[in-house]
Amino acid sequence: MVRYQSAGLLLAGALSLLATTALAQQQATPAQPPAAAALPPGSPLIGRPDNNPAAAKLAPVPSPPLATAADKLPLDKLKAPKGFEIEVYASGMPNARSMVLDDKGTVFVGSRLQDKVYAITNKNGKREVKVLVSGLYRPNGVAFKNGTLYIAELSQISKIDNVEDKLDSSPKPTVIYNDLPKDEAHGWKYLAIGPDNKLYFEVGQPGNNVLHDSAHGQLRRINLDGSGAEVIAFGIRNTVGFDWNPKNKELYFTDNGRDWLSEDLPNDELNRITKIGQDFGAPYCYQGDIPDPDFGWGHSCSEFVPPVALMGPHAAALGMKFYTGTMFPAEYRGQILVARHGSWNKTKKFGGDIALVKLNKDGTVKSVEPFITGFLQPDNNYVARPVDVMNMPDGSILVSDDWNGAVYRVSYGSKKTAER
Amino acid sequence: MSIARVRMGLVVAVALGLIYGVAPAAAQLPNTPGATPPPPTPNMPTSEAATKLKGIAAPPFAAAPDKLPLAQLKLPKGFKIEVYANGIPDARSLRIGDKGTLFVGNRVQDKVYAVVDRNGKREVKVIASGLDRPNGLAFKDGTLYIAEGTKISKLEKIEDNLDNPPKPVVIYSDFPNHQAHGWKFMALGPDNKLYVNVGAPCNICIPPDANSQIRRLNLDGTGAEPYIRGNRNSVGFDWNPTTKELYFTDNGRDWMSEELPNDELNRVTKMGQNFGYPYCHQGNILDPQYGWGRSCSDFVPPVALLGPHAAALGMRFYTGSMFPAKYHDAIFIARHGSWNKTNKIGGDIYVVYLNKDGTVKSQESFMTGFIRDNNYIGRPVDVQPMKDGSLLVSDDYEGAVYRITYGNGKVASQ
Repeated sequence: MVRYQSAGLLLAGALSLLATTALAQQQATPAQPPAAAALPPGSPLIGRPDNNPAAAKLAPVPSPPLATAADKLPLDKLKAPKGFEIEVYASGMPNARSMVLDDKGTVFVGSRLQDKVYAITNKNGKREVKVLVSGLYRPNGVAFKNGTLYIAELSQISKIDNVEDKLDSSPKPTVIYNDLPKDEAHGWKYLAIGPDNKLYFEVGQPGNNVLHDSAHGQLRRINLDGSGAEVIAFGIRNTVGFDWNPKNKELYFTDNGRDWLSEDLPNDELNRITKIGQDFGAPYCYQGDIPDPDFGWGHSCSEFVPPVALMGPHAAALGMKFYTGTMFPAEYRGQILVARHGSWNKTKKFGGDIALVKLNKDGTVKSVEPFITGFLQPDNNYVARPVDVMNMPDGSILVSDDWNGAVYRVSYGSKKTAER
Repeated sequence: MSIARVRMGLVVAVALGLIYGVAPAAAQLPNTPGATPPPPTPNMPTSEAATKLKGIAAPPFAAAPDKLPLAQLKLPKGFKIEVYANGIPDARSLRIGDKGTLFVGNRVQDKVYAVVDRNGKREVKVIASGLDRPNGLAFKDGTLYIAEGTKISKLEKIEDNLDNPPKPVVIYSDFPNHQAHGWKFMALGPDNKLYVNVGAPCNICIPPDANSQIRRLNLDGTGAEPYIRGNRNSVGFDWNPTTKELYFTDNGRDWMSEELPNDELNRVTKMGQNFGYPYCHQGNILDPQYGWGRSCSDFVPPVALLGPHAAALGMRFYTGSMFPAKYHDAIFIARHGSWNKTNKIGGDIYVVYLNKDGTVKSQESFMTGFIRDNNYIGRPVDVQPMKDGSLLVSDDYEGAVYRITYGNGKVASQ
């Protein structure tokens, strides 16, 4: 117990009412976090408790480096409600992440761990996968407007005008905005164009749980030419998916809760912005009711906007879209579909599905339920991991899978073949 | 509180040096020789607001009777409060003897007191001193049992010898010696055994096997055995008069969050049950340090959450008839009040209403007012129903015992 004794005295020094006494001053060394074995800044393993065998087993789950061959995709393991069909829309795109559709039917797919943006062309139902651009750095975010493809990399946003004419010519993107930090942790971006014709993207927290500066932990928007940057929302840990309610144009976004707080807490969040400048709590308050163990002291969750729904602990709720089609049954129309990539910071994994979030008329959430499942198998292993969802004009949806490098199409009724 | 008393507190704190400034969980503890000091708090945050939070030392002297905060305490309509006894520094656990003597234990002082009531005129006597954290008291057949930090002793025929009390006779001493949560709550079970809390020797740690349990033993000190496990620190328990099941309060861990976890009210339905510490808190929160790979479903969840950091301490089933019917067989709980929280909560007498099957129906504050402008003006520790149906409340901050009555029962009678 000698170790306890001296550490206890050190702590006593740090905390003492008597900080003015010589003894206390002499020993007033601030409590140090457990010695971390030279983890790089922003490492997801920062904060992992020492000497805990179960915690030592937990780390981000790397996906296979190569795309899965089309005939090896785990289609038969994915489960949808009765009447829905799942098919392969395209494959062979390692680390397929965010998706956007242009006005000629081409789907662009970003990547996070690769350097590429892919294009899936569709001519009369015949689909072809091309590498549109390579040599990019974490090109996770893609958006499209009036012939132009916008790409969000780790620390810059660029564009390719008239992209449809350049599908085979390896176009070089033109940078429109680069006033961004370069942190690896939560540095990749989701990108979407709002009803105001501005580009929206997040700048996540540069770590699992950090007291971030004024350039991080936020959602920003810029004009399509890169000008007029402004912060739309604060207190965001890392959103990798947002969309606007087609009824009232309010922005909803997913936000991933912090790690290493507990197996079952906090939940990922689904948030709703009702006013520019709202603060959603990170790193002071998570899931609307948990003041953070590190930074929550002296704060109250009532200072922040609570989520409209809890999406599950460590679920990694990423891409989301309001379902705007009519192919699916009425109960899906106008509701939110969320890709839950699945947990790593949890012994028994959670997520690995497309969730259906049903809304009330007033925009509040009625329920959250799994819609398409099977990405996470009962043996606690992933066979696929959904990243983004996207509406297709015929009312089907596409789902990207960065584990297998594939995009699936989910349809309802007898429309078995993808159409344009 | 007057400036004079604040100053006095500081003087004493300085005089006692680090003793009063050890880890927050044990900020008020005397320096018990040989006791393991509290281990460092894991993950204690460095945020400025967190560093302002520390254990709150009570004034070292009892308040003068005219300074007691009676007027600030708020009760439901029809209830009255009066001072039952004062001048008892660090008044903690309460027990009533067969002849009506009130016994009062200490935690940071070394004494056990007796309050003798003769026709409404009460006298406070010290019946034992030089003890080590004599927080726990039980009474049976003329004998007072005292639980100190590391032993249990007894005073036989004490009510006949209040002016010339015998020296306590040790009956059991097989306790670990540690400062954090080393003081004991003790009570006599329906099986005529002594039940005593052996808390975790830390805020959060994997406790040694001898810790984190409620232990029971025979009145002669034999037959000690763990009754339940997985409690962090219970400083109050009592048996449901209908079902004879044990209910106990348990204080949740610190430094996890301002709002989590809650203190617990637990119910033992079977000997040997485990209530989760240090793996699971409040039945549904796996610990950030030790919860990985565990599931809360492996443990018995609490029957009620009593508030974050509220320090739910002494509790009794109300078996009297003076109070209105809704309080009969309800549980009264003294919530000492929080320190590990910027905006204090607790500092009240709380009541938990049960259903016939022993589950919890509802809960609410009963007597409030101990917290004023986020400062304590008193801190309740234990509750004790009297034979006439009135309820005594100890206050270790002011060194007093109050009596709550309903209707016309103004004068304490035994």
